[in-house]
Amino acid sequence: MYEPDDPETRYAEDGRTQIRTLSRARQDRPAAQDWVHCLRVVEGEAAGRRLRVAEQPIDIGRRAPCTLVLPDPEVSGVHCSVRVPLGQTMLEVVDRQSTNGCFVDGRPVLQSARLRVGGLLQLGHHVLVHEHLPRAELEAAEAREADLARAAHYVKALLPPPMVQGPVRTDWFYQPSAQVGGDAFGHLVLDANHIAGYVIDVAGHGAGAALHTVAVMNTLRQRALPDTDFADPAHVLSRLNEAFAMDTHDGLCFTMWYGVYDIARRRLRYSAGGHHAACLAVPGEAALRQLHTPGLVVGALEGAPYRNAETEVPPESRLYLFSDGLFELVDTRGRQWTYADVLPFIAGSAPGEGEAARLAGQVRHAAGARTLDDDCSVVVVTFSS
Amino acid sequence: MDMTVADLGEAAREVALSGRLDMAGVDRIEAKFNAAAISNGQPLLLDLGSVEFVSSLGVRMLITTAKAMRQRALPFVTHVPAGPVREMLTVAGIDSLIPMFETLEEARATILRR
Repeated sequence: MYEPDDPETRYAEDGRTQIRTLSRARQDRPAAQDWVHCLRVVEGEAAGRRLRVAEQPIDIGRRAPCTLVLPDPEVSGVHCSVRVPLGQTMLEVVDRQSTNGCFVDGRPVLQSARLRVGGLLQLGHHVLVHEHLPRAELEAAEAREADLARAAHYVKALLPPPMVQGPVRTDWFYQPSAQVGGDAFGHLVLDANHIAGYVIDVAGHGAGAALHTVAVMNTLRQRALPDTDFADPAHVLSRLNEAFAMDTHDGLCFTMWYGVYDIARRRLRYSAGGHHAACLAVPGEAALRQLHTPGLVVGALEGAPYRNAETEVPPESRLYLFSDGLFELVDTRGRQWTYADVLPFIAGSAPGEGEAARLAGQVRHAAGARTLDDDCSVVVVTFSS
Repeated sequence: MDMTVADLGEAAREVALSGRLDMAGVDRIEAKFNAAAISNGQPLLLDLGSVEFVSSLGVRMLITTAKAMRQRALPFVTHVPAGPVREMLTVAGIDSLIPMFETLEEARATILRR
């Protein structure tokens, strides 16, 4: 009788039928010790951050030395602590006598509570979800997030420092969304009498949009557009439209507002490509001047026309350039905000250092917006006397 | 973001979108939309009357649709009533690329004439 020496082969009870196992279903689930508990911030200014949780308690609050610091006025200095009790899959949340309390799946935490995998922990304006992930998957996610953070840092490093003296002063606010995005702005000193300024907004988020933003910014910073009159806004948009055609740039396109200020004549010449109006607040004028020209999103269509417009700029006028992330918010009543909703905030904005950040904060506070779905850029330009 | 598809006889296809054309909406709908709206080889009427919001990614989707229809030499019109969505698309310059009609009747009459 044939005695198989292949361990995957055996005989059935009849002694004649050979059964050979060709493959087995593999156990792909990692061993228990290879899973990691995390809390990931899904709502609030710190959205996107992730914190590993183990048996040693960790503190969450508004101040160091908390392990997770949340920039939130409604979070106490040390708000709560979280740990994984030995041998358990739920997290233990302990309220550290916080002023506003914390909530697990909508229920207030009375001293302590258990947070299941997938459950939500709310403190202040922040919401965190309990994740339980294989270590390898977590490490891959952390590596991706670190790459995106580096990309966001690089984009921010390209932004010009505020101009604090001279005929034109600038103040700006920039906050990317949870993922790195496609907002940017800058200025060019063309000659002793002309300064150009711009804001761009690439459609979408993530590394692709950021790469495109960087490419456009560097082209402008280095004036790497041949045969281009950088003092002619419509010509600049037209040349960028040719140089960054979406058909040859992975389908990416962007909106842009570009203006050139003639210091001696006190005149601002500008052009827009798919971008909403900039606002000029003029002393003594009740209404904002809205500076816009019709023009297609840049890169969309070869040969798309762009046109210039001009306005005179009285002394101490202030120009507000901003991306749609300032106003494309959904408020606490579920209403979608539009460009028109931010005009009263701009009209009532108090000048001075930090105006751009204050303006962005006022708009978001009024809307009750907790997270940024889009990047938000605001540039305030003051034209000196 | 939801989508319904109807044929205007054999003359054209009408695709209606409803909801928010934001990042999640575009992710959800784009492949199905391209298959229904572009690949079938008919003139297209895109009804945005029930769309509440269009993000920059939604604008990009409209642009790529317009370019694809131009490449195929097929007419493409939209129904976009007066309101925030129409204002947003006008700012983006979409009205220079795709005819936008304030009523569905005008849009249908136009696409059936072409």
